Amino acid sequence: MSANVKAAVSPYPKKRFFRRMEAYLLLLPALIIIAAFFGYPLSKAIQLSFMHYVLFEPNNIHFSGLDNYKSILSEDNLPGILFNSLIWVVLTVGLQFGLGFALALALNKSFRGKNVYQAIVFLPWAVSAFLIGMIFKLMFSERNGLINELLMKFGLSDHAVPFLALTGTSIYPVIAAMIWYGVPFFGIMILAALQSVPKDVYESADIDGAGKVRQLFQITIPYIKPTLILTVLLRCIWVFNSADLIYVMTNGGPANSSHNLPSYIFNKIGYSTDYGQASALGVMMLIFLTVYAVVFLRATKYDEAGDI
Amino acid sequence: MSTILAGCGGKNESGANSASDSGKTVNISYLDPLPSPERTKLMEGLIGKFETANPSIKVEYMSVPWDQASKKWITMGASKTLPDVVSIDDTSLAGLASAGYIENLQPYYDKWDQVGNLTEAAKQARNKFNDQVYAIPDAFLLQGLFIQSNWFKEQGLPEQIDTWNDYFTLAQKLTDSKGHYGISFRGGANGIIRAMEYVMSATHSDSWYDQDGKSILYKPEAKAAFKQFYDLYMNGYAPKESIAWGFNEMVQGFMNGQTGILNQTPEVIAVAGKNMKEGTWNVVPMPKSDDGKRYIFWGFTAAYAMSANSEHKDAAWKLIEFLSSPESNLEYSKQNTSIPIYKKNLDDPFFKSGPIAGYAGAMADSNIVFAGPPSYLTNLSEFTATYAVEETQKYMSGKQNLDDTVKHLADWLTNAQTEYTKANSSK
Amino acid sequence: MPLLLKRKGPGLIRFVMLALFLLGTLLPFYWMFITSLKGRQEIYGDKLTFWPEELTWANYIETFKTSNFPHYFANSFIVSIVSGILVLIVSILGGYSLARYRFKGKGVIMLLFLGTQMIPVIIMLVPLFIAFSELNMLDSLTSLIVTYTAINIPFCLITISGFFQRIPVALEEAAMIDGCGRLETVVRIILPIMLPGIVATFVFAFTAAWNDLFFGIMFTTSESVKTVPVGLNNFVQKFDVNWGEMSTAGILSLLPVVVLFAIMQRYIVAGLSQGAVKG
Repeated sequence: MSANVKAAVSPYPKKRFFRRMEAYLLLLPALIIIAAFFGYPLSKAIQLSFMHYVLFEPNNIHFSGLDNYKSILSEDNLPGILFNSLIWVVLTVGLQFGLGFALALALNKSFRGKNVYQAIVFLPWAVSAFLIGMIFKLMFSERNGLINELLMKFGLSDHAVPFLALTGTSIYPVIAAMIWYGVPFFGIMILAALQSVPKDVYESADIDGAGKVRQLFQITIPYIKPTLILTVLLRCIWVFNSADLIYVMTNGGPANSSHNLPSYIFNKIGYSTDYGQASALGVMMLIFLTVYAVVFLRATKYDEAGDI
Repeated sequence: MSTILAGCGGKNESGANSASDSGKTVNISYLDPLPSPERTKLMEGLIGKFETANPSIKVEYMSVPWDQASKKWITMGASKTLPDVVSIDDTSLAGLASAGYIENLQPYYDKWDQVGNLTEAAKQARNKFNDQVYAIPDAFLLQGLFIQSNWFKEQGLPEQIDTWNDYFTLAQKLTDSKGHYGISFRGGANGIIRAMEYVMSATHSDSWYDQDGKSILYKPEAKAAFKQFYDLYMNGYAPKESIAWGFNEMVQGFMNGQTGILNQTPEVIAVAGKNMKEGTWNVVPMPKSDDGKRYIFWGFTAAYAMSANSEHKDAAWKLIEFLSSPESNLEYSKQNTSIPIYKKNLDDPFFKSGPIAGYAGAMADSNIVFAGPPSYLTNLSEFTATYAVEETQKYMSGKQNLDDTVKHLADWLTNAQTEYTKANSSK
Repeated sequence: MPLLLKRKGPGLIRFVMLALFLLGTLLPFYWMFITSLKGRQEIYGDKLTFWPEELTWANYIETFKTSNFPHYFANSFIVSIVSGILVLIVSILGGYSLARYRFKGKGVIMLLFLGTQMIPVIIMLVPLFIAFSELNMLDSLTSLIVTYTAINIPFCLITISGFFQRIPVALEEAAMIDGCGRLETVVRIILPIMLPGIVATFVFAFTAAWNDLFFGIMFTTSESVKTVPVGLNNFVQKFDVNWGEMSTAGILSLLPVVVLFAIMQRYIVAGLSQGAVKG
């Protein structure tokens, strides 16, 4: 189809040239802003990652080759933190997506009070992460914590559990808060996609006698698949890079057991002022995520999209 | 970064030629790391008085929340945008000074007419880097013990904690199975400072190092003291959650009736007064060591420092001088419930009664050993807020044994001291 | 009975699901709300109360009297709306290009956009701080608007381009054959169809700006330019967390957003009823 149109719209090479320029022109504002905003900091970070650069040692700044990278890779904490980053992304995005999908499906049909209902369930997304962190911290606390109180009331536990102070598992309450925060995001995105599915497709399916579940898997999901994939994959990057709830709720503790990669960098740079090492860690994250992005672009065949 | 910035001057249009323009208005700024409605009002009030006394200087009040403050100082310092006057804490001073972000105040200090009226503690404050004064303390803090008087009364115990042994015994006695614990333990950031306070007391040392510059933690008796202190947590005399507690969690734990004893500074008096019922709590002095002396951590909350990049250094010093004047200091100390820096201010009736009296009295007690951390180390805050936190939390959660923990801490400290000595002897 | 379940089943499941979502969503809000109605001593008290024993509006009165919240609030609104609109404009232009043109370097550009999402902000902080200070933009709403716009563009642009892609090219062609210009086609026909997606994207950009604490803390110092999250952080003091007033400010800061969301989600629904999409 699109090959056809190409021939129809741009029969001459000159016109094709302008069409191509148009594509770049439309992207120009975005590219300028991004280059201006990210270009310099990024080049600086790459440069610093090869230097011994500690703010508190202004007289001892020098090129240090791969030292920063070596010392990071040999760090004892790294495997644990990478593992945390993994469960952080998988659990958060997985559950946000699953619950968000369910919510969107439930909302994709009108009922009385739907407007009010939607306004309420989408609300968590509008709360600042700081406030969410504080409220969940209060709810999960050992003393006077709502969660503990409820657990004990319903006989599920006979003593208060210090959820945020358990080595190895203190990241889970943070993930819970993160999920609460992010379900509406998926809900909105998926609902918006669901509502673009043409109604007549369902109508013909109804006539064919396809059940609701079959309709979901055979019509709805294939139709909105591009949005789903795009949203999930972008979300993974965003969640991977998100540290503020960890910072507010556990600050990575106890004993660094609830840090993910960015919150660890944040903590490291905050006290050691070792910008060299932190930059190296950042560059490594960048490489890692770039590989991920390349795979993602291949998988979604983004290059080939469009073109009329 | 520094090379890029070499030519980067100021943004302050009004002060192109600062020193000479006595007639024109000079704009300076002050950054407060402890904003709260009460404190902001206090500081703005003091600044207002300063502006009335110095009509040619305008001061802009700025603030940053406490838990973000050190990151902000560093960022502003690195980009040479640190406000003219900044209040900084004692764990950050050396780092900021060594990075060249804050001005050496020694020349100003030498000419300051109030030096003779300061308390001994103020003169010996940990406000120096390479023996030069870099900040003027706002007021003084030392440790004391907040206690739940009710709990003591219920058990018929006298409301006092005389020795460290009493402290440990009480920790056990005040713990019950109904969610009450003896100690508001500090397992999170800077918790090591509390532990070292006891280690110093047990080993009769006023420093974290012996005479050869080795960490006192290498001594067997120090290791035993370290163990005894962390046993408070390990034996369950402190809430499980307190493994991660910092300043405000331990204060909250005390205020919400979870813990019976809280080691804290006098600033907390005002907070406790606001949140707890009168008569249910009290403050007693720190326990004595077996040599009869009290080894006490002391310091300032937020000393006034000057940005090295200030274009109006004279005006900035005028503000510091004003905020540190006996009148301002008295008003500040009262509102902040902390110990003034002037001998004369200690005579004010405010410091003679109530919970603050114990603290104020301690300043004059000859049996007190001021035992502070080595704040001349530029990376002290890295140790107290990250390295030691991880090591001790590993120990508290059973992931690392005592020997390794103590050795790691001692090695780190000794290493830092060696490098410090090396760097300073070569100068 | 099985027949009844079969007929009522899906509706019932939906009802239960909706109820559970509502409950889960409301719980933290409820907790924040009743905390804002408790006095200090009850918050710190010995036992947990599910409804204030002594209901008090003191926190509300205090918050209005002593804090600058209305001001923080206005700042947050300006910053979030302006950056949200800028993001939307830039993203629609770029998103259309990515979705509808085939050109060299598209893959690289995509990688570039994604790459920006991967840089840990902490590393960018000092260079950005220097740049803003040289431009004399520190401690102003402008620095925040620029930051939030730049940060949100990549994600929103890619999302919008995804929405463009879902709209059949044939629809656009048909309009163009009818004599509409490209611009006219997009503005008159494509964008209205995409409205739900555009609104959703705006909500994303808005909330991302609304919620940011980190840059707010770092780039602003004067009271007059602080945003809501920074104001909330002021309630966490060195020794004290003012839970009552923080919850109050939290609840208050939510009210206008509730209104905004109520309006926004109507648009998402409106897009549906138009039913303009024909495969």
